Amino acid sequence: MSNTPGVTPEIPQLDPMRVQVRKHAMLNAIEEEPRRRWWRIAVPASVLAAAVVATTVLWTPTNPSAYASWTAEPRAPGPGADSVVEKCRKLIAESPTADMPDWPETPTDLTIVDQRGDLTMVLFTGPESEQSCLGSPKGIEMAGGGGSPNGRPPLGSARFRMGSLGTSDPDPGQGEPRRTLVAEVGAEVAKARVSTDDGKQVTATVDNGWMVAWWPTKAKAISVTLYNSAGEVIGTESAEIK
Amino acid sequence: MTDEELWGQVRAGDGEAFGQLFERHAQAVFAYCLRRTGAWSVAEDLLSVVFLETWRKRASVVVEGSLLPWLYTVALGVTRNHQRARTRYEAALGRVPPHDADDDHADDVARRVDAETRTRAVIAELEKLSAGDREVLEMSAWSDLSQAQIAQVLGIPVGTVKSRLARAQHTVRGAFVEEAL
Repeated sequence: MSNTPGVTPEIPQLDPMRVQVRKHAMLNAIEEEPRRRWWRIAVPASVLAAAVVATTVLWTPTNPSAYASWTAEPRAPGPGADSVVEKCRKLIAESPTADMPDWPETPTDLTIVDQRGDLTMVLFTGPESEQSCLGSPKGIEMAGGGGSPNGRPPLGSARFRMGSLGTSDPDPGQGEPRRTLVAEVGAEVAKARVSTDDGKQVTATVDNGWMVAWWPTKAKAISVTLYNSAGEVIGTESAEIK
Repeated sequence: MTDEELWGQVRAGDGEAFGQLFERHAQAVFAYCLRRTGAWSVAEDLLSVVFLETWRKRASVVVEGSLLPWLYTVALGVTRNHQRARTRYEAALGRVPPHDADDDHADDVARRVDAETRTRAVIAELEKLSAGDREVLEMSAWSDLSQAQIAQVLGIPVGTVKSRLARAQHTVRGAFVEEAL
């Protein structure tokens, strides 16, 4: 303690030019506001939607890896999944965006339960948005999601449409990174597998016209391979959000 | 013009008036964010976030006297969870031209590094306090706010400000205490 500085460390003046740069960037941003409702900032990169509503952090210093039981292949949901579903439903309903006038309507339809080890990912969908939520014995938190107040156009004859690619990237010491991919799939898609740029092959859970896959790293999704019920490859899709 | 007068224009949608408030208070908000985070570039981003969030909530904010108590309120919130705040305003922050390191003089780089080193040393010491005690001590030491204003910013009674400040000062003795008084 004797070698520490005072509680009010001296802070140099900001460069006046940087202040002006920041000011003008800010003014440009707020001038666009009437033309672009603020949800639009969030929805295309649905990472943001997830970040806005994120609540409880699973990781704690005494739990070095909340994702230790994660597996690339999902398994059948266990008896604890129902509890996670209800907690997620409540979490989503009470999220700060739930009552926002320009935010897509909160999804309420339970669409997928994805189980990997003791980690349960739940996907709710609705006419205007989708939202996933991750639960484990340690706690519960929002994952990826997205949507639009204008609703979602029908998938039609398409086999695949990216929904969102959520990223959780906490500060060092505050948790563990995670990516969550949510997409719509056609009726002929029985299985989907995500390839990531760190070499993972993550099998998604597919149900009710949707797929969910997540992995406990910041690795980017490169592609999604789609299979039919006979196990044949019926397509390979980009994981980019268009 | 006073903050109150400018704020009246801001509430009517005047971006230029908001720009004037930005110029007036940017340094104070930046200093607070840097002392809280210990990272220069993060503090610069959070400075923008604080003002963008203030603009977004302009219709519901009433300013009496200075805008600073409100700015500190927002700054406290965004520094509590700065990753989430930065993510929310990612689109706007993306428009800020990156600071070109090649343009920096060595002295500028050195003073940034020095400032980060100093603030991180203080942060390390303050982490010995509870979050509540720490926020009171920080607000008391780093702003010109009265104890009543600090109570308003933190959403706690004035008596709690006093008791937390006394406890924090007791824990963090030495050079810290004199400066916080």
